[in-house]
Amino acid sequence: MARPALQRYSGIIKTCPLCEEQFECAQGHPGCWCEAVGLGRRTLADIRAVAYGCVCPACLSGFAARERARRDNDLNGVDENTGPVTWAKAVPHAAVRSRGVSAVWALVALGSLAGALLLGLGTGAASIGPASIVASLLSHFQVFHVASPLSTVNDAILWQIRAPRVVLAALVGGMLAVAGSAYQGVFRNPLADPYLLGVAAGAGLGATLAIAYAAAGSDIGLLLPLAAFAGALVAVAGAYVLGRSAGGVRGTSTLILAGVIVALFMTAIQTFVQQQRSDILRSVYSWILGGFGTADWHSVTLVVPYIAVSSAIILLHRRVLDVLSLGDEEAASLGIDVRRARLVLVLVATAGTAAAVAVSGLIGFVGIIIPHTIRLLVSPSYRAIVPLSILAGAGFLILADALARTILSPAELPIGVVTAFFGAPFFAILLRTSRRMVM
Amino acid sequence: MSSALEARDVSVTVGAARILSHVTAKVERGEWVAVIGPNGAGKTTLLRAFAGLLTFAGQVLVEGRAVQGSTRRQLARQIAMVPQQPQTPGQLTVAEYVLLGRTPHIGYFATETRTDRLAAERAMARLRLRQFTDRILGSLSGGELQRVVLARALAQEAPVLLLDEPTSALDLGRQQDALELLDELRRDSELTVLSAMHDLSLAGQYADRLLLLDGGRLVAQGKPSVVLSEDVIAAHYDARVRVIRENGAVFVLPRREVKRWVH
Repeated sequence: MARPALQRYSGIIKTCPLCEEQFECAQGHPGCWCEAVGLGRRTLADIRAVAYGCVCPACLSGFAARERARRDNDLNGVDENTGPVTWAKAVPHAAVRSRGVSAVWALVALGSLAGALLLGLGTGAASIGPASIVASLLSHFQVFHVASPLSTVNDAILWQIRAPRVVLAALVGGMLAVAGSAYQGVFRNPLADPYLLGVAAGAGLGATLAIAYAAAGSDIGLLLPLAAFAGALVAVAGAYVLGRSAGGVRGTSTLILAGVIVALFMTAIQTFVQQQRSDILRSVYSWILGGFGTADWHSVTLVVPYIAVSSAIILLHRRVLDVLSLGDEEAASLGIDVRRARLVLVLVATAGTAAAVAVSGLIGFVGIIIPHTIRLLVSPSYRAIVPLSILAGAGFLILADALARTILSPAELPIGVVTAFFGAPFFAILLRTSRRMVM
Repeated sequence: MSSALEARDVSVTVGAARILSHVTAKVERGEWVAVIGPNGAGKTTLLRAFAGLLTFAGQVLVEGRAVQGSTRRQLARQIAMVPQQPQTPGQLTVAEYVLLGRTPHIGYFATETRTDRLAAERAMARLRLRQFTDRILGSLSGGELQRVVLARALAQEAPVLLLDEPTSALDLGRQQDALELLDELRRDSELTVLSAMHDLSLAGQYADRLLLLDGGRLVAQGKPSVVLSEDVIAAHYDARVRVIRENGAVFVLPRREVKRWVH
């Protein structure tokens, strides 16, 4: 860097502790830049906290510009590095911070989710435009006294059939994606998805047993989600206990192996039951493929508490997940109780996933691909991955469901077919064009 | 006054193997002590026991307080550890990585405050990393990366620094840079340093005291000029060396025994 043209004051050459440039000190002489720049108490404290010894005019001007910007309460508008300075060009001082979700990405994610919602609500046998949807929504909440433009039939289609379906798809998509991001962080394994520890097999067995042995006359619609939920929790609890007792200090791979073993065992029982009762094969199969055909407001209220609490807890762990990316030992030496953090995260992610599976069946692909997409597109930090996964997962599954029910209308495609058929090529292109590492 | 670190009759057993047996040692405040010994002597295990990262028999005290009775968080405020091969996720920026060092000062569910950002900024300025703030770790050289890891440990603001082979991946000049910097840091910030070291000449020049481990036992300790002798090194390293003493410094040179063939 060219040295600023300083008047010769003292001849004392010092090295700036911040930018390592040499500069001439003018301390005590008339017109000394230290006095000319004039900084607030808070900025002076900042400088003292950061720098050992004297700071060069360039860096000092940078602090002055930063202070001006702070004072004008206009941190976004003022370029901290090029503000008017009297003595020298300010040295760029990048802010020490962690990249979270930038405003742009937050807007993109929220915008896409809103778009997906309108599209999901609008498409179907009766097409309803976005403007009508918004007007109808406002009339329902009695805001601005807007009259609903929809007929009674269309209104019922929109709010009693499509809305619960779209909301449920959003909840399940967000949950699966955020659970996937938590699993990938906890296990430091790019292949981890929410079904890693046997949730799928457990829920499958629970559902199969409910369909096969439910007492005649019992409400299968009520029983099935409960059985699937219980099966999923039993499977993961079994995997966790087995992994802990066998693994101890051996780390995460024992836990994953235990999950595989439990899943194989439960799948064996499920296959046996299906062999005995071939009459139920069709309904078991259609449940396993997943979908939102039976969604109503009741199933929405059933899963909301689990999904809300689970997502909130994972969201609160976003910085801890970043610490865990340094490995168990280093995270421990930074003061994290790794075992407890892992237990809490696995527990809440599993409970949320089990609730999602209970109402929607097994929907693959969302939990593994959405977090990776965010990782490749936005940032490898869980501060971005966790919140954006919720939004992107929700939007993605709404769109997938809209496609599933319109492509072969009036028949419905299993949603798992749609998520993989459209998701896989998209991710292949992303993987091919992105230069970032997967993990 | 209690010592910064104290091990009382510490033994570590993994499976059937005894990695450390009955080690008793102290590190006083402000001291730089180097743990030396041949491969497999238990150097890393001793450091990990001090950091409370493994289970052991006996007692380890940090600033007079038992490691076993402390939470991970309390311990992390007392001891910063730099492992031999730290995990440095390639996509993190230097600033993000150094900020992770503030973890023991940040609430479990919280994110960094201004105090934490300033502490990280200070650690980075101290290690001449200000220009690298926004660079990703994957783009740094070995020497730069070593400074970044040190900055993370420094941002932790713990009075005790444990270093496992801090210079093993560096060239000769960068080794000296890193150790000089470390010496400067510990004088400025009044740190206590305990480091495992392979290079005996460097250990002898920088450390105040040496602990020599062999087969899990503490076989010698004291000033470098006392511990580093040709006999001791021959006995425990099974190595043929020449020890040169010059102005109080000790240099250990490996020496090849020339075999003469008689026809």
